[in-house]
Amino acid sequence: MRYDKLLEGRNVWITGGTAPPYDAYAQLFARHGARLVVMDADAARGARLLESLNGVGADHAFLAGDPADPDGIAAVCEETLERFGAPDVWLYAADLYEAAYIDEMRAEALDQMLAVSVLTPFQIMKVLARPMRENGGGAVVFAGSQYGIQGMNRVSGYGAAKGGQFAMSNAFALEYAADGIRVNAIALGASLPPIGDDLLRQSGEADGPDFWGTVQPFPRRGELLEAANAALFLASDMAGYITGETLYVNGAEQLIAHNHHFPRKDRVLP
Amino acid sequence: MNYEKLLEGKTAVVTDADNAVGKAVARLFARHGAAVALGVKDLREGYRLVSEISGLSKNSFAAACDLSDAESVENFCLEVKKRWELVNALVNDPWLDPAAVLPFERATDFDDSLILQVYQHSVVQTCRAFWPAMIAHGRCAVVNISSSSVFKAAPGALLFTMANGALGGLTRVPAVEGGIHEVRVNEIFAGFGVNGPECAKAPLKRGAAASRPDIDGVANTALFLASDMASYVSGVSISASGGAQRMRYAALN
Repeated sequence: MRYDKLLEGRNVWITGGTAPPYDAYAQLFARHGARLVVMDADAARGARLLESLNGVGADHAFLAGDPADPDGIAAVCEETLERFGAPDVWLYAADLYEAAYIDEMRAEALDQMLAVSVLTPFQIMKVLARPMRENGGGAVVFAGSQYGIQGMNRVSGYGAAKGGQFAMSNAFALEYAADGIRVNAIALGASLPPIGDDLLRQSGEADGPDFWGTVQPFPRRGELLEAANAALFLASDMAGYITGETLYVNGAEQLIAHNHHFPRKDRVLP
Repeated sequence: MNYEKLLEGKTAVVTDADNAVGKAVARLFARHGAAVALGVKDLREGYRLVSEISGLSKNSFAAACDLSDAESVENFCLEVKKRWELVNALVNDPWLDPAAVLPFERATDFDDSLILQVYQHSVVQTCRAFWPAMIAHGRCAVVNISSSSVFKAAPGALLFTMANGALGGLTRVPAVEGGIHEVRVNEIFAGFGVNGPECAKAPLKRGAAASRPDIDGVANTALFLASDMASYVSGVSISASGGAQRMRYAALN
């Protein structure tokens, strides 16, 4: 195994993750030799990503496809399959985060988060399962959130969507293990974007060890590159014997109580 | 980060380095530039392994470390500390065959205490020996190799499961304590059958592009967790068992 080219010659699909800093996945995967096919809603952003990847690893492609539109995504995937063949690796990096106490949550927000985190990846997996099986297997990685597993105030909707994604990911893992398709997820915590930015805004705290030390054991925020390294591990042959797993990338936040992260405002109802 | 030499310039300790997983971890860590201290039951096997990896890493050495004997573990840790001020990566890979998989009705008090020494006390001993320097330095890693039987119950393997279960505590508490220093502590649920009898069939197809032999899979997971690739990963338990952690376990005995 060449550890500096962990995805050499691999056909890698990435859905979402074109906007910095979420492009860390694409940047790292390209450096490891992947041939990327990136799919996201914003074509201008996609073009900028491709430009920044010019000359890094293989030739890459961008296709417009909106992760918020589960009905439209299947057709885009069929077209992508025809042009590029089945992926060896598929990373689902699309994410939509909106947080509010439930009585103040916008009615459409839950629908939109469920669309991006559950319905769209479901539709994509439905298209990809057979070609990936016929291809002899591959790896699927979901960029998930620890709030799909543990609760926190203000994230009932986001947590429901990310929790559904984990449940789906585990079922896919069992359904396609015999075909050599590995399905795993990373679980990001409170300090990484998008929650980390929201948390700092809502709490009014300064970004430093004094604050992060109350949130999680690690005294600093995580970086998207650290999430990307974990995703790279799961996508590569290094994790060839791992399937059906969820890997926390959160500075050990899963180990400590965390419901106090968002300041509890006056909840007296009018 | 140099992904070809993920442990360049680092020191690593592997206990029970003469079992199948321990050997694979030692070889892989050496290939990635680490100097490895191999704690072995069989010194001749240890010396053979050191000469095998000496081309990859100059300062590796083997020393006697019988995990079932607290004094032997103590002496091994002293030997390591005599040579190195700091251990960057500590891999605890306890294995005891075959007493660990005795049904508890047939096991004796002696078996119980042997199992507890190997799976629990030896790990406390190595952590205690190397922890203060790790904390003082920061950004070091401990990897405990446990069993997926902790996740799904394997009938007949009560003592083994109980003993391995303790590695969870030995992972999560130090992970919280070490967090402020970014000393990371993680646990691998190796597939049952990596070192011993197989009682859960891994559903993952082997031989496919995505699939590798299980022992390499465990070693690569240990490498990931010990390296900066996992710089924000701590206190986790990850199964490297081909999905066996989600299957039904057959009776062992």
